[in-house]
Amino acid sequence: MPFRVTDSLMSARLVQQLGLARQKQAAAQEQISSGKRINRPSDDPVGAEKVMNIRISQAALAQFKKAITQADEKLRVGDSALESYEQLLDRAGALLAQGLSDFATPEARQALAVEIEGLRESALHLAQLKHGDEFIFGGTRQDQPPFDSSGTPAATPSTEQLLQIEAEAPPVITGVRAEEVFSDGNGTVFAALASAATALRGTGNPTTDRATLEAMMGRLNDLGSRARSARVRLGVALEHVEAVGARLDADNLVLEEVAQQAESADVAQAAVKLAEASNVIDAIAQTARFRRNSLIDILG
Amino acid sequence: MGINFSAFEIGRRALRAQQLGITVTGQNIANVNTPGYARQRLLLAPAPPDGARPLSIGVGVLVQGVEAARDRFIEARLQRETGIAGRLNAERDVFAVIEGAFGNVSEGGIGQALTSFFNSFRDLEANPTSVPLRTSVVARAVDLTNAFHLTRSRLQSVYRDTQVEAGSLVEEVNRLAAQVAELNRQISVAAKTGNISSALEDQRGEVVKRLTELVGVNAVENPNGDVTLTFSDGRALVLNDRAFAMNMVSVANGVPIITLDGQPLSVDGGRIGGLLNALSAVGDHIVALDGLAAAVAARVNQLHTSGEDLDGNAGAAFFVSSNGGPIDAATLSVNPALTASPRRVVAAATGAGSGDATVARAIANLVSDSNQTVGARSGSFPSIFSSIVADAGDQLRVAEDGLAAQQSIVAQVVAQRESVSGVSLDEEAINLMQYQRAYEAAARFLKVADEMTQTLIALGQ
Repeated sequence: MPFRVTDSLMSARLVQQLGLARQKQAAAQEQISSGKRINRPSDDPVGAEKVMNIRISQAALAQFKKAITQADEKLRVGDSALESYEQLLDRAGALLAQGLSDFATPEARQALAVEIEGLRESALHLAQLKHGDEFIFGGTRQDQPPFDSSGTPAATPSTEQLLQIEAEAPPVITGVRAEEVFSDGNGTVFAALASAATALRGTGNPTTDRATLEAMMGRLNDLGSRARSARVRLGVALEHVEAVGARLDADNLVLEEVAQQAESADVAQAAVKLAEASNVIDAIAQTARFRRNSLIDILG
Repeated sequence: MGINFSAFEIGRRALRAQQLGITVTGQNIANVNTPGYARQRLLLAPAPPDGARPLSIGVGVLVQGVEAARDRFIEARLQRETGIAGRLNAERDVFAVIEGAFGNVSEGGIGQALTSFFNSFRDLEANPTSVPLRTSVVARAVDLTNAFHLTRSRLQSVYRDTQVEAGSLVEEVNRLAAQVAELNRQISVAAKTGNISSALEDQRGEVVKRLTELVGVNAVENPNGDVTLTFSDGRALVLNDRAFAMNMVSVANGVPIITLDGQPLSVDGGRIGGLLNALSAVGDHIVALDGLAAAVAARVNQLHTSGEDLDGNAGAAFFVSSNGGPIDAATLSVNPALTASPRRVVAAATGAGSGDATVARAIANLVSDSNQTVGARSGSFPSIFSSIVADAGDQLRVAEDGLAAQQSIVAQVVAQRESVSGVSLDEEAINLMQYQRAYEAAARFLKVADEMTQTLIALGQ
């Protein structure tokens, strides 16, 4: 017996095909309007997980970029302060050299002492300099300035501040500690400058004063070397931060490209599918409208 | 030669048979769109001769009955495939809601909240003495707890709604099973009294079809016309005119148990089977989400309590349970002490100074620390969440693919059933014409017989 095609079967098939075509049309429309191939995990579970993880990585990269900006800012501010400090030490050295000159009069030495004391205040100001709420040279000790107003170092120890600027890599320094640049093994720069000022004013023992000034010149040279070393460290850190920043930008581009490949819709293909589905729907509608010849019509 | 009245009997029978034929045709046409209706056929046979006289040519036509065009094999296959489609349909419906509960793939939801929370610690790492950044950390943590609460609440709603639907379907199964038992009884009575029971069988067929769709039950038609409905373990839902009661028993923190006649029953087919599978899946997702919330809280708390806050106090737990019980996705809360005073957010290691950011860095690094484990999943916390979401998507994909394939199979079997049992208006139009012509001919035959009789009577007068 041949396969009987009944009226109900034809209607049911039309409805089923119409439903399938509508589904395809809706899917193509969604891809075109959203520009995405994956609009929900079930569209492509593996691809969706990949895209989600890429977005997480990108968010982490964006955060590292923010950290890099902050590290860069801190390093530049620290470097600028150290540059001023270096100039200050150079000037102090020059003043001490003038004070050691046999041609320097007591009045000139008094004037030099006043300027040295001013430089001491400036150095103290630099040591206590803040960027935002934090002491630039405070390191991890931020609850008190590195040196008090008299130039006495803070009692609690400090370590360098670190900042993570990329995943699974050691953090970078964002500054140097005051102890590293404003002190040496023999005391602080403030004490040295104060001693120098006292010697310039004269203690009544020219020989001792001269020896003090010579010793302080040597100290200032040493402190200058320490400041230069610290600037070099900051410079190295700054270069590293800039290099990582560039790398993160490149990484982000690669990630975005991969995410786009996984997520983005092929709009042309989706448009073709949309047209196909629309054509099928039109055809079904035409078929449904078509008055099927039946014996009922013939019989009247 | 006497008057032959057998011609009248032949004519009478012929008229009645063609009338019945027209009635059957009308019944078929009337039910052309009735779901489950099987077209009927009038069974005619030549009536045997009355006695063994010479030149016996019979006494016309005999109506043997009306037969519904059914193929038992196709009917059974349709029921079986409908049961599978019912299960996949239920799974697809629930899995789609589960997928929606997790939110957008690219943005929003727990994934973004986790990343934002860890990143807020990265901001704090860069400025470890900042109070505003601590306030931001607390705000992101509150966002994270809200995201967990919302997603878990959605999943819980899915669980509740699914359970309610399963419960109401169990009630429907009991009602339908009782109908089948009653129809079994009526068909049995009709068979004994020789009445046509095709309409009752059609009605029972539709009820059985709905039952297989609901609970994946196997239907076997017995020689006496009864239908026995059994589950895969062989136990009967309907036996002769008796229906056994199904019940759904709630289980704390578990998938409800279905019982049949008071004994536990494994339902793996039909919509109810699908809903039970879906309930299990929702439960798994809730467990995974709870596990993730607990693991995040434990790891963050471990790091947070290892350091000291901005004022040098020992770090308190960052996350606590809102009800004092274990931390899960529903109870995850930010320690109220931190909400009240963000200065208590820890960035520094103990004794390292307020400018230290060791703890903040360690917590921020959790965003990509792939050494975390939650249940059987491992990776970073955000990637573990991605994996949970991807699993939900995968379940839906599998269910949708399975359903699409199953719908094709069902459509194929429905077409086969329609080919056998469906009503064709063309055929019925031909039948109608055929019976009408036969009726006219029978009437004409009777007129001729009558005229012949009149002629004979006139001869005798």
